[in-house]
Amino acid sequence: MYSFLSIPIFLAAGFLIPFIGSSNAKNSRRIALIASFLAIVVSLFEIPSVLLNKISVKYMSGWMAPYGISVAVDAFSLVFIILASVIGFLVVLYSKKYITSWSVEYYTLLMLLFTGVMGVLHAGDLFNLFVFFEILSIASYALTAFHKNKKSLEGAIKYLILGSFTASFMLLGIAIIYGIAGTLNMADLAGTLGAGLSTSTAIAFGLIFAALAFKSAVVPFHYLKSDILEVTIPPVGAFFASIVSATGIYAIMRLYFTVFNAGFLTHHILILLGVMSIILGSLMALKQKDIMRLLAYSAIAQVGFVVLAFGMGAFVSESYIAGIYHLINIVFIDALLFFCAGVLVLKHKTTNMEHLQGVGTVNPVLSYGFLIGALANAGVPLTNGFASKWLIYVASIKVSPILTIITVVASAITLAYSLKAYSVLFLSNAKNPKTIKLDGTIIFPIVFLCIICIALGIFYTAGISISEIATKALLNNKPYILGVLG
Amino acid sequence: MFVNYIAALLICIGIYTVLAKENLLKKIIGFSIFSNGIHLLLISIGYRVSGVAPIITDIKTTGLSLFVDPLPQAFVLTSIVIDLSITALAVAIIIQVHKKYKTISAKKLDNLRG
Amino acid sequence: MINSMFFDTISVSLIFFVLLVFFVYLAGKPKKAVTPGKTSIYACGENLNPEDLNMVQKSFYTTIIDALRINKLSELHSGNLTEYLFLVAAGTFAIIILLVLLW
Repeated sequence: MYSFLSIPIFLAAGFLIPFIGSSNAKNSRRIALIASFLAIVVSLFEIPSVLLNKISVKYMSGWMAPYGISVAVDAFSLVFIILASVIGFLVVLYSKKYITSWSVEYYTLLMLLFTGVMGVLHAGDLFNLFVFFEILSIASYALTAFHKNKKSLEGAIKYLILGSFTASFMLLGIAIIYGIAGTLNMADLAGTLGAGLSTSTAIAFGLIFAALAFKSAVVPFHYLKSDILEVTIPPVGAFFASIVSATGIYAIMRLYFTVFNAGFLTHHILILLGVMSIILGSLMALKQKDIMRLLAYSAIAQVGFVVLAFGMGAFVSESYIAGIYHLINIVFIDALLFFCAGVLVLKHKTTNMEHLQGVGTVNPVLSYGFLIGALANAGVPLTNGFASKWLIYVASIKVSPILTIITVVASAITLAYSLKAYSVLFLSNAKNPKTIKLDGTIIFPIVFLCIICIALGIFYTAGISISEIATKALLNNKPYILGVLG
Repeated sequence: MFVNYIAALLICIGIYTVLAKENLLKKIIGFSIFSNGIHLLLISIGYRVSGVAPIITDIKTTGLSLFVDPLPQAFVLTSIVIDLSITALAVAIIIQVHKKYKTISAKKLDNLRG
Repeated sequence: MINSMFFDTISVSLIFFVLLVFFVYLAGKPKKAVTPGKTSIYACGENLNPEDLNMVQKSFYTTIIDALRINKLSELHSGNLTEYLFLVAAGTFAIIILLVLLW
């Protein structure tokens, strides 16, 4: 089990940075870079053993499965672990220009945020899931308040109160499950909860779902996502919009399919929430005058597509593949859009689009990057957004034509606001547009993400194959139970 | 059984305080009451009638079915530490909010909207 | 679904046609001087400045916003923390009821 080592690596980096960085602040960035690069290496080493044995398990301190804490990685988790480590490395690279002061505190909080994400993705136990979820949340509350100006503090305190309130719901749900089943191990619960009391299990799942849906901004719980993405630093905003949402969706699907093995009718709830997210995200993004809030509502709408695809899977079994493929795609697309817009926000110190008119006109790298991101967001052919959205359209025709109309109209509205953002930032006439001198640390993430967006669009069979392997691991929970319980 | 009702009462008082009070510090106190109610519920789940504390003192004379459940106790200790750190961070941010806004009423913090 | 691992006829043909179009564009790119008459906007005999035409963009979006009543949707996100807490608690309650009915 190699990929589990990323949790100690990030935690050790998070504790070493205040000691070593207080003498020389540049060392904090070097330690963070080394830690995230090691995390990529370690998670890539896990691929052979997961593909061979279908699951890779480690029992902490040797205590066997239902009595001790176990860490389990199967193919569905491994996709998210690789995505999280790659995007984490790009975020650490990209934030060089943004952090001129307070760098020790920033990199410590960032390492703790990565620890929380990696811990949630590796968890084999509800106790572990809750603890790492809280580590992730606390680090993100502190990173929201990083600028310490008026708006950032307001966003941070609102996010803290709402986030801890919903996390306590998750604790209540776990308490109810422990009262019913007597164990907190996910594989053991999957065996025990098969034919139990269905009302209490449903209440517990609903409470845990509320906490995870707040993190990933599914519609009745989406409230502060746009506010915190407006006030936080652009690299951290990119990480929140792409990986933290994907982690929330991962935890929801892991509980829904592997642990609770929910019945057929509850997929209707996922379809309803997905449609509401798509409609609300697309419509609210049309009205925004602020580039970061617009991209945040765009991310909410894309997560709505993923939840819709998972909901339609009860009727059309290929829809699960479309859901996982679209989740991989939106991680890359949202990261690319936030990276490109963030450079302009850094230079001009405002996120309001009326002040940012035409500031990007003489910056070719940012312009091409944002254009590819905007086209991929809308689902234009040759980009990865088209490949996964096409699969969702095809699946939705078999379910109900109304869903197809809603998704196609939402894609048209997505094209409208993406091109509005692109034309205001990059095509308008400005008085004296300045060419921003870009460092290698900003060019490399943007170019890398552009290449991946186009490559996943042209070689879409690679994406579909990866999603197929992940779907087989998600839907069939017998190998998971046998692998963990021995 | 009686303890479960007290825990449910504490949870309801906590949720009411978070939702109904306007002062930010009162919301934090409400969150603390809410999580203490959940801790009480967890510990009462782990109780076994006429059980002793789950520490093995003498292997020969104590039987294995007389201990209370240690897992909820570990879970509650972890959760108390997490709630402590959230409260500390919240109070620190509220102090800074008071310096900038001169008020800590949740109704007046509405610069971020839409 | 699709059986091959990375390559497909569609992928190969996509790359081929993109490269073909790119080379056609490079071959046919003229490098002549542009007279001022070619780049002015022609609107059936009138002479329009580019600055006058920006008004169309804004009214396009305000028409859509008024038609779909997005302003009312935006008032739900008023920024008041107590309202957000109440809506999250109500949403949790609604989802729990739906889950209990449909489990």
